[in-house]
Amino acid sequence: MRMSSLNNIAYIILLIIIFVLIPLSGNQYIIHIMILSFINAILASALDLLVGYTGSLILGYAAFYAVGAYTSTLLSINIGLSPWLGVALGGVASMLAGLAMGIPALRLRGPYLAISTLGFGVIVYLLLINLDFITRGPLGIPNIPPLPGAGLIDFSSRTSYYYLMLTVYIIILYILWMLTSSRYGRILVAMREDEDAAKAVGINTSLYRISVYMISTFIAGVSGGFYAHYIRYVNPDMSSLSQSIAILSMVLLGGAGTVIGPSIGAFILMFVSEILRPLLEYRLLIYGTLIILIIRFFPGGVYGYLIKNLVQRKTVSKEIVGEVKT
Amino acid sequence: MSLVINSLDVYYGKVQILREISLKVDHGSITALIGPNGSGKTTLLKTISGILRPMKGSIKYEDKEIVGLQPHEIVELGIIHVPEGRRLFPYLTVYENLLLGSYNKKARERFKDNLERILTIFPILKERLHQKAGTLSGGEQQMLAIARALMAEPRLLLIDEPSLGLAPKIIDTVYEHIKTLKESEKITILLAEQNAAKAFEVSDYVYVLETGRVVREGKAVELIQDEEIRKVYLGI
Repeated sequence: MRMSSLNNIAYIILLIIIFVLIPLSGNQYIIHIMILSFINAILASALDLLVGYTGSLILGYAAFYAVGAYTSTLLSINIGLSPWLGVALGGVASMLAGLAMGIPALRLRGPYLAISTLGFGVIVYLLLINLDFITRGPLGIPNIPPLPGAGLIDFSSRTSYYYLMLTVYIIILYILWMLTSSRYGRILVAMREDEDAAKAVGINTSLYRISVYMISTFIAGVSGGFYAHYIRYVNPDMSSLSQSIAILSMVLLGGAGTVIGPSIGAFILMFVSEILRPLLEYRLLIYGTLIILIIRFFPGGVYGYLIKNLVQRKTVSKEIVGEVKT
Repeated sequence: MSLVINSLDVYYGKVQILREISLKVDHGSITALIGPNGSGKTTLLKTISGILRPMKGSIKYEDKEIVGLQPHEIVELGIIHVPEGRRLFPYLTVYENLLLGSYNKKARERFKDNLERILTIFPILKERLHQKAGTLSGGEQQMLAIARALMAEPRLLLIDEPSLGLAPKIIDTVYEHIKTLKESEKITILLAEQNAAKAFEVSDYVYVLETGRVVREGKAVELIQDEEIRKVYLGI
């Protein structure tokens, strides 16, 4: 780690330069997919905080994404609130939803937690459909105002939204990196590995579990808000099971329990599903097969595989421990 | 008295595990709980450290009632539990395990001093400092489990089955260390142990548990003379 940290910084800078240069190609289609990839990468990284670091398998995670998106949408359409504030409040609403799910789920582990979070996702989905006097039900909400520009920058243009999302993405990844490599992150890993032992050394595990739910769902809500003001249309499918599975696939494909892995998963899946657009009906089938194959053959995901085989052949890397504990 | 337990009843659901347990642990002593599988030793330690809640009874630590406190609050009082089967964080390094050991605020401030002192008690851990805990041998893991507990600056250490799964020679080393803790660190120790011979050897006072009850108790040197104890627990 220490020896290669200079190398890592070089890779990161190279990657950022590539990201910055992409819009110069002027290919609107690629820019569009990249923006969606950034949003999904943020979402997947936030989920990884729960799945990878805390070892809680969450199945209905798209619900938080949808809560963020709808909150921001409804506030900006009905009250005329600035979408910027809406995005932040979307994060807060999602965080409150995270608390509503997290507190009762404190005592649950493994498959029980997975099933109850799945239930939570279904509840949000059904609420979005049935509260049609607020959400317009399955029709969804069109004509969402875009993020207002600041000074010379106009965020209704695709290129400037690209740079905005790139910036947000880098900031959030940096925060997650700091968080997971700090004492806080170690405590999460300790709880994942052995909850009773964590209690035995005096860690207030409930406090940490609740706080990590709040952080994760806040980020998910924010990414939902950015999605809503970019696509400018939301519908209840944002909270569907297939959306949740897609996010989870990104985490597992890229490598759970790593900061960068879920992003790799997000970029791969976003581009692959574009290429496989003719097979759209089989999306869930493909994702499901993918998850099974990854867990069977590459439990550390793409990132874990790369680290293990290319970077550190001898020593076991800290980052490849991303197995989902149940 | 460091710890005084009075008629403690503990249940798992509807099943009663501990019945009317009363015991005392003297300051600066090593007290051992012996007894067969399922006699309630682990349950008792877990109840003291707050992981389980008793149905009735009291646990007083230095004259303070600790029943009802959260595990992390009990840790802050200076009662540290070394759980059965070591329960390390295998994917964290030895250093990180020790760091988490000094989780509470007071211990965290003195982390560096404590680390140095504990590494002189367990020199083997110094060599392994940046290795993953899961890669240590059984004996080293047991030492790390105890060292991790020491990082929290315990005054009462609860050690569950320190000999579990270790070779006889390693068991001796582990117990050497446990005696050192009592003698040079002045830590009070309550340990649960199936290896009765070893327990008698190191401890001052022994409680014999059977199906959740204290059936015998006495000073180790006296109890070991008892015909029945010798036959049942020591096989002599």
